[in-house]
Amino acid sequence: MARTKPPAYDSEGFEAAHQPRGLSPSAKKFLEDKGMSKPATKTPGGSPPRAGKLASNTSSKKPAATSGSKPSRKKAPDVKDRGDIAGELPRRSRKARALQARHFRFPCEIDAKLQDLVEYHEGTMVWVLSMLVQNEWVKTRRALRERQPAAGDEVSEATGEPGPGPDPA
Amino acid sequence: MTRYPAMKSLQSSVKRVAFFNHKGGCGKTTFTVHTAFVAEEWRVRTILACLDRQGNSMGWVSKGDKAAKADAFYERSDYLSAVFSPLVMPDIENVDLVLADCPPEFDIALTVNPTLWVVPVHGRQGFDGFTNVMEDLIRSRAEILVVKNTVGRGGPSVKRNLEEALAKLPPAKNLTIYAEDIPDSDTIIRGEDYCDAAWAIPYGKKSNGAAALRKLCEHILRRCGFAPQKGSKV
Repeated sequence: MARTKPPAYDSEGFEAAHQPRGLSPSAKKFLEDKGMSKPATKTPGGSPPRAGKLASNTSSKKPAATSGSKPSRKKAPDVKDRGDIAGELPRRSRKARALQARHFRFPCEIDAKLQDLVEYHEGTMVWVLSMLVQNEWVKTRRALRERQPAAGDEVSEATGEPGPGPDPA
Repeated sequence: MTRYPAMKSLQSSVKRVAFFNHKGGCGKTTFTVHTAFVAEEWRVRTILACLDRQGNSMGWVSKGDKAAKADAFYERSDYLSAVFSPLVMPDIENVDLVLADCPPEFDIALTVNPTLWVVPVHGRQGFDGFTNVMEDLIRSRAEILVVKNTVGRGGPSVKRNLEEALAKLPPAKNLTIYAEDIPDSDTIIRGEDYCDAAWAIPYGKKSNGAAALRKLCEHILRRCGFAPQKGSKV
């Protein structure tokens, strides 16, 4: 039997080792050509710099708001893709909601984490932030409510009258 | 916010297997690459996603191909391709199986959202590397397969201590300990040197280590619902 030899060691190293996180453009194209990946309609995993992405988002929204036309909504992930996770997503009412627009800038590391959450949840920054604020709000309300009956008991003991119940809000 | 919202559906038709331990050097890359080789033989359309910046699984699968090093992808056959995607799990569809070679970094491994975690363990630190994140893995609701790797290295006391520790793990529905050991094997090491499967290198077929490793890879694939296709080299 002819004995095969292992490939020779080379000292050139792995060229792609220094590439930014995520797929390289060539790998992305390869997957798309093979139909193994969706063409990039949504933000792909970590290819462009994050700060630039955020800046471009905000700058593209500004003119729309000032022109008086309907602001262009950021395209949400495909509805078809969300079919199987619909139950887990927060409900969105069809009614127009009152929106409050503000402009924030986050520290780079927080922005990077926010971007990770966006990619993981396949949502938008607004969606992720809304979810976080909502959850934190619920937690805080619960903590306040747990604290309040104890205070109410003290009052009722002092006055001999039933104390005020927890804040209905 | 729950940490495991399963937003990317676990029920996706693409099976994802994440090879992970919080400690490096436990056998993640070895298991990933060999499972990929068996999947290729079984004609399971597979993508190996190398999330580790070291890119070792890419080099192994591509046999150090220069173009693969530059392009960060490699098409080995109709059934097996590898992509290099450091620290980020790419969105892959229209394949049967995605094998993720994770770096020892839990936050990155979590993004794989796998159907099966394969956790190689060896020695005290390898065991600690698993138990550090065990709760999180269990809560992820995916199946967990813990595999004793390089058994024999360090002598019988290391083996005994690990077995005792594994036996004391709290029971969990989705946690299984692979019954057989993957022995410490020169053949498996030589497989890395040859950039090929341990059983495909000279004298590899006779090796117990290669046979045990192959059996494990087949177990992983069967567990994901795959079986050898007609005409595959089995």
